[in-house]
Amino acid sequence: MSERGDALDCALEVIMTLEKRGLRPDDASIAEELRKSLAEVQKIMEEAIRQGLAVKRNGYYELTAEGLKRILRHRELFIHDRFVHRESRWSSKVRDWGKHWRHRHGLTKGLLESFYKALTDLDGRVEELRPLSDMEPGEKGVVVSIACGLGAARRLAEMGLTPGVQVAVVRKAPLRGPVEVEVRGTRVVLGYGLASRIAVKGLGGLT
Amino acid sequence: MRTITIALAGNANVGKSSIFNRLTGLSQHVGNWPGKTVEKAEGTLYFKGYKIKVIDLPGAYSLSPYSVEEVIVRDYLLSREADVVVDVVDASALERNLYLALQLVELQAPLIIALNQVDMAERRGIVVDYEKLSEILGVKVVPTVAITGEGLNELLQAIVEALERGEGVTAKLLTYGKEVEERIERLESEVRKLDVSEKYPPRWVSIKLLERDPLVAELVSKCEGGSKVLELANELARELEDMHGEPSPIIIASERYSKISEIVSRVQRVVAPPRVRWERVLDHVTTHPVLGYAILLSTIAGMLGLVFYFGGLLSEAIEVYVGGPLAEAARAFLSSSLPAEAVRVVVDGLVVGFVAGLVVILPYVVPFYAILSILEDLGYLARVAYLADNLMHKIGLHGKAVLPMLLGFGCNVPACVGCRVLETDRERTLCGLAVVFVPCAARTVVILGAVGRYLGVLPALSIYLVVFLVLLIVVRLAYRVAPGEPMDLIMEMPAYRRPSLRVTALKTWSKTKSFIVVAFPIIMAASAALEVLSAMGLTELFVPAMAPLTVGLLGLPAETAIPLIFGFLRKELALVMLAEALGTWELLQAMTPLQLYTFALVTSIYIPCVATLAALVREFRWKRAVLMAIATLAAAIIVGALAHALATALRL
Repeated sequence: MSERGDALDCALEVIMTLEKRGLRPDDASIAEELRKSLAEVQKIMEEAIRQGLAVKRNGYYELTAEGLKRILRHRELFIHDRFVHRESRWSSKVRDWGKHWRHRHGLTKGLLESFYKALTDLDGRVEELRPLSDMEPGEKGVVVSIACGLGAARRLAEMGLTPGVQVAVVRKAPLRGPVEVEVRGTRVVLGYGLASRIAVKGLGGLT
Repeated sequence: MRTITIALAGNANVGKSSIFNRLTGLSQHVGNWPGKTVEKAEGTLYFKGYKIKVIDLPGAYSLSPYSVEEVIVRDYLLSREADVVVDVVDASALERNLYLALQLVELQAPLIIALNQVDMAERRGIVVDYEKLSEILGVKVVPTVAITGEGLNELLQAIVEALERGEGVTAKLLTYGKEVEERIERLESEVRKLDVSEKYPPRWVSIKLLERDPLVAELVSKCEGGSKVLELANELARELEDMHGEPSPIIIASERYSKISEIVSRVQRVVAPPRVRWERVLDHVTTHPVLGYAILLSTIAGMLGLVFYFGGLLSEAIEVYVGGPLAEAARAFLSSSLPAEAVRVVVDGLVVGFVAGLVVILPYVVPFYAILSILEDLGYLARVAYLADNLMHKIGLHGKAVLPMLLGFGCNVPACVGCRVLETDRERTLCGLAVVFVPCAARTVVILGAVGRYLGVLPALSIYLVVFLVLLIVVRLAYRVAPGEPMDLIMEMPAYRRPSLRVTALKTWSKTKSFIVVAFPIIMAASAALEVLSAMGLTELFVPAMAPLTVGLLGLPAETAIPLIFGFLRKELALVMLAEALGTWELLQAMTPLQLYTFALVTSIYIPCVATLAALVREFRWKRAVLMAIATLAAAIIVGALAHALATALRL
């Protein structure tokens, strides 16, 4: 994806976040969130409108259905490449994503739906999500989505790691070792692979 | 005298076994659950004119149908065999522990809660208002400290009182959030019309159906009109999934947890910040990225060194002061009444076999398992699993597999049983395969006795290195071909606590027991069989038959066929048999150093011994056990042949 493409996705993410919070996104507010100049944002948004991803009404931007789709795809790719299949070079070749998740990563139909729902409901930009395995000891966060097989998801839920729960990283073993977290008053150790599939939003809001 | 049955349920690491041991002491009987390789511990005690039978259920976090242990707990509770179910709850981790309690409430089990480890909770600054908890759940809650036995009398009193009053010990109905609750109720009114509701609580059946529990769904589908109810359940579960965007088992789990959070906020107070105590310092140091590994290595090395050094001394002493006199006495006693061959079979076979078992078990296995039990009780083994997870991943297993592997250094038989700590069938089998390659006490005797004594320490260590390399390769290969989804580590990290002598003793016993029950009789029988064969002169027949393998492929003297074949019966005797077959203890006169090395290598790798094979069959059934045995045999021959070929090529 080109530099421009990334900036475009970020801008769309910001529009969606602001809309979700009941705010009306204009050039100035997008520029503020993205920490970019007004001229840059205007240029990006012109491109977005040209591609039919957003429309401008009375100076405020709105996402089109195409734009929404693009965000979801962006979020899906982000999660896939960042959490599930790190340093993946293949994601651009995947045609049927539903199939890919099911066959390659063991997500059942129900889990896949919950995954997409979590993507749509995400409060804030997807770039704010981090794998649990990337958090530093002492950091706290809220579990947003868990992209693993149903067996492991169920075991996690039983141990108290349900979506929406607050976790704190206690310590991490070196060399991609397991991660120890505190959840619901107990300590649980998770293998690195599993921890990297748990998407967590750091506590502290939009940055 | 009235007999009542109580069952102990609870998570792992909550002190459930301590309570069980405190209650029943030595009057316990450990067997297996019918048809399952899961331990069933039972015991009896007498209290105020009651004979109380106590069943220790396997530790479980949930009652989902996906692990053998959980299904056992669930089936047992559904059988309504227990008059009272005591849920042992860890007061210092109330939220997580109430998850199981809530499911017991759903199951409408006759429940009493033992709020255990209240002392530990207090030290962490947590106070639980147990009366309030009792009021909310509608069941008696008794605070206990299992390690010291505090509160256990009150617990028994509560059980007896509850039964004497005759009033139900059934908990109040706990309702969940509106969306879920409405659907449970709607489903329940339909389930009530089915005949499953006579046997099982309809509300429980409804919740399980919403959770898409396959076992309950099957039960319902067998009822008349069941398929309609199943359809409704599916539809309702779908609705929930559409609303929440999660699979229904996870929605219900979240629902239980939100109910629990509500309860916990009412009964639990954090009164003081946890004090920094020895546990926290220990926790920090033993999981430290540098210090932690240093401590881990020195612990294992120290443990093995200690056990093998003192074990060796003790073992010799037993051989000389117990074995010798016993054999003499038996010979003297029998020679007057039996023919010489029979005396030989009984004395050199059974008696010497018995002594050999004694020589291995007392000095090595018991102290080794005692130390491991102390470490486990202390909470250190969980740290070992944490530190070793990375390494275990290299062979396709995860951190928890480290315990059975460590057990394997003592004897492979209890180690095979130890594989039960892993969750899935796939993991257990892979771990079993790994365990079989771990050099046990008997193989260590051969490695040290042959290579260590005649060739030096470094070659002996190199054998260990080769064995672990083989382990790595074989298990990795098996990891590739084994069916099923690989599981990552999900493990509770228990807080450090003072180990109790009593629990350690009982745990050591339970681990040693599988050695005595499985290995001991087989060692004796194998020993007798060996004597019968050699008395009849049959062992010699194997020498020419095995020559292509021993001489051709491995480059060993033909006589080594005898110790190699019969080492299968008694591995620790392989060395003695070798000396007998060669007719001298000056092994290096009859063999080149390389031959001796190859011999020790092959002996250490191939099928551990007949007792281990029996344990494998018990744990993994015939097919997999035989496959594992073949894998070890193939690995041993390949490695031996490679060593020989390499030496020939290099003209060593």
